[in-house]
Amino acid sequence: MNTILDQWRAELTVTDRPDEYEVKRLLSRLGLTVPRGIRIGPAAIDGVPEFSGPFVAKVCSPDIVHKTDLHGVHLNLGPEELAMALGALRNAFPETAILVEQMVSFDGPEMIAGGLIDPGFGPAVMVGAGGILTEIAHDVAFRLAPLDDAEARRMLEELKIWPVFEGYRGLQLDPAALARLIVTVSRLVDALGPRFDQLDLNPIVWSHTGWMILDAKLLLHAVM
Amino acid sequence: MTPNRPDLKRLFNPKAIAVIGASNREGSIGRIIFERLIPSLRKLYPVHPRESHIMGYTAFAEIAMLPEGIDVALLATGAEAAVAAAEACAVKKIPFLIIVAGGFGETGAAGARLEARLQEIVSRFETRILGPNSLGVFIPGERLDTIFVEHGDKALGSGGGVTFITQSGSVGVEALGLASNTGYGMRAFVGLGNKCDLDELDFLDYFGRDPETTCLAFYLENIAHGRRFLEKARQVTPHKPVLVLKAGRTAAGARAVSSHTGRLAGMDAVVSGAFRQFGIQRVLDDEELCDASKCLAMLPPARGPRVAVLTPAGGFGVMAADYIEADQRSMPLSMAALAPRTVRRIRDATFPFAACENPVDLTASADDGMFGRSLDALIEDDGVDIIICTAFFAPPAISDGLIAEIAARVPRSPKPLITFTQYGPFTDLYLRRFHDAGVVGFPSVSRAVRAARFLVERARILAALKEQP
Repeated sequence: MNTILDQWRAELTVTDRPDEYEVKRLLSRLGLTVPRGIRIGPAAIDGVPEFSGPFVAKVCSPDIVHKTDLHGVHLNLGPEELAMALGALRNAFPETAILVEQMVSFDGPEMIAGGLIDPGFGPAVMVGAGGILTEIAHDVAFRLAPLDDAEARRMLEELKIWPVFEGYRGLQLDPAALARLIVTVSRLVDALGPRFDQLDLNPIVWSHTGWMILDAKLLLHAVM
Repeated sequence: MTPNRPDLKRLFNPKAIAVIGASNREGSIGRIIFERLIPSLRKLYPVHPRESHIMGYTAFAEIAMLPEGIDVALLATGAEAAVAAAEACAVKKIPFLIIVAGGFGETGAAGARLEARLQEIVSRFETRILGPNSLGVFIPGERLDTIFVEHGDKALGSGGGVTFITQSGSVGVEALGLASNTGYGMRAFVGLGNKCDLDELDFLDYFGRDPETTCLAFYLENIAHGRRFLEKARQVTPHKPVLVLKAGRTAAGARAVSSHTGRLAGMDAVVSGAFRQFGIQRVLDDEELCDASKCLAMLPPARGPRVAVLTPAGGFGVMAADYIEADQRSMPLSMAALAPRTVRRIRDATFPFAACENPVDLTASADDGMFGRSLDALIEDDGVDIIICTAFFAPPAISDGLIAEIAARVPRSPKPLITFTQYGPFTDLYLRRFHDAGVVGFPSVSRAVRAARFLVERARILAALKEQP
């Protein structure tokens, strides 16, 4: 874990301020699944992804927290629409990178996982019902980091939406795999130590055969 | 270098106690505290600058003149004087100081400076401080009591073994006063006060190892060494329940956050999650803290969630069933399906017309013996994990002998037996009688059902601990 982290930090465009693309690369190296994607740097006029559509294009900057609110996310794009979306993003966010991803289909609920530093207890992780309504539903469970699979499983069992993992409406979601994801998140939070500030993985969805993290945000503290 | 710290045993079982600020003046705190210590039969050394005797005990003009071998000094002076006295006691090598005075960190910057001076004393000497702003300790079994306000001590029952550790003196004494009315047994009370030195972690460690403590109950507004407290709790919970009322739940989210995760944590959800992870049972108010500690100290964990309800009054049986089946998310309970043999046994022991499905309604015609025999049938039914027994004394065939009927079953029952009783103006008295007979009782259906959930939670914690490597 520490080797992966050191190497990843050394590669960041801006020290300790990873953008979404970079956060997802880290998650991928830790064995978690993210959509296929490329980052198109601020200088480039256009870029051609090596994967097929439909595409998602979103502004990719550690400075922009609420991408959707600022019309910084374009979904479900064909090749021509992608070119138009890239142009629109360029105009709206000059000098800013763009992340182009393969848009994935998914079944079942959007989940959220994350991490934070509790002022009293230190590094903690969360899992819950995700998506844009997550703060209204408030269906979440917390534990301190790090934790094991059994404890992560108990977090899921605590959720109101737990029945979706027990075959609700024919859904075939794998709670054990989501528990492993939480364990990985908890190890990441723990390994980042005093550098760690906040982490959001939202949404996390069940896509075909596994849990996929569609959006990710990681805030680090600058540590001398 | 940290000085060598004395064993807390000397604080809780002292042989010799000095009272700085002991007084003959009626109504003064120095007098009340001294008076309360006389029945402890320990050697008492009052310190007073002018008086030659305090309540018949030879007084010492200065701390420096005290004899050697004092275990605890109680500082019943004002804040400024307490700081000077604390230093003199530390020089005298008195291992434990209880500082009653307020006027420290809780009052502002000037008070905080005084409190910092106490901490400085602790860092230089071996002496340890409980408080300031502490009610001190109350150990019923040792007849040691420094609490100078009413705290239900005269009503306190025997047994129970709860150690009650509270950051707020008022919450502690009022909760105990009320709980004592209806039966509450206590091993120890500790008023933490401002925690300038000794804090919840010290007492969790000490009473976690104390064989006479069967349950630890905390009222806390902040947890000094959060992670270490949790880790210590995990060492204690395999042996005895640890309950925490962590007040100040809305303040946790005060820190500005830009993530969903941070905002979702706002209402101190991390505290709840961390408590579950480390085997701590969380309660939300003083009544719940007393109810939960009372039942966890006296009853075994529930093997499962299936509850049987025995009642002489149909209405309370129906309400109990509603409470049991409601709130299915956190700590679910269910109404037990009774075995046909159980139903037959109860019918044979009572009336052909008795409703022997769960809830079992014996009707107001039932007598004491019918209750006892019905309880036997429920205790021996493997499909029942918890029994809630409604005890009413108004029905003509019911006598005070019902208390003994139920009490005789408690030690024989491997499953928890909780009693709900109401008897108009005599309710508290009868709950006390149940308690003194070893029966855990509550004055409402909802509190009896809530108690059952704590016993299920306790069993789950023990099961989760077994899973861990």
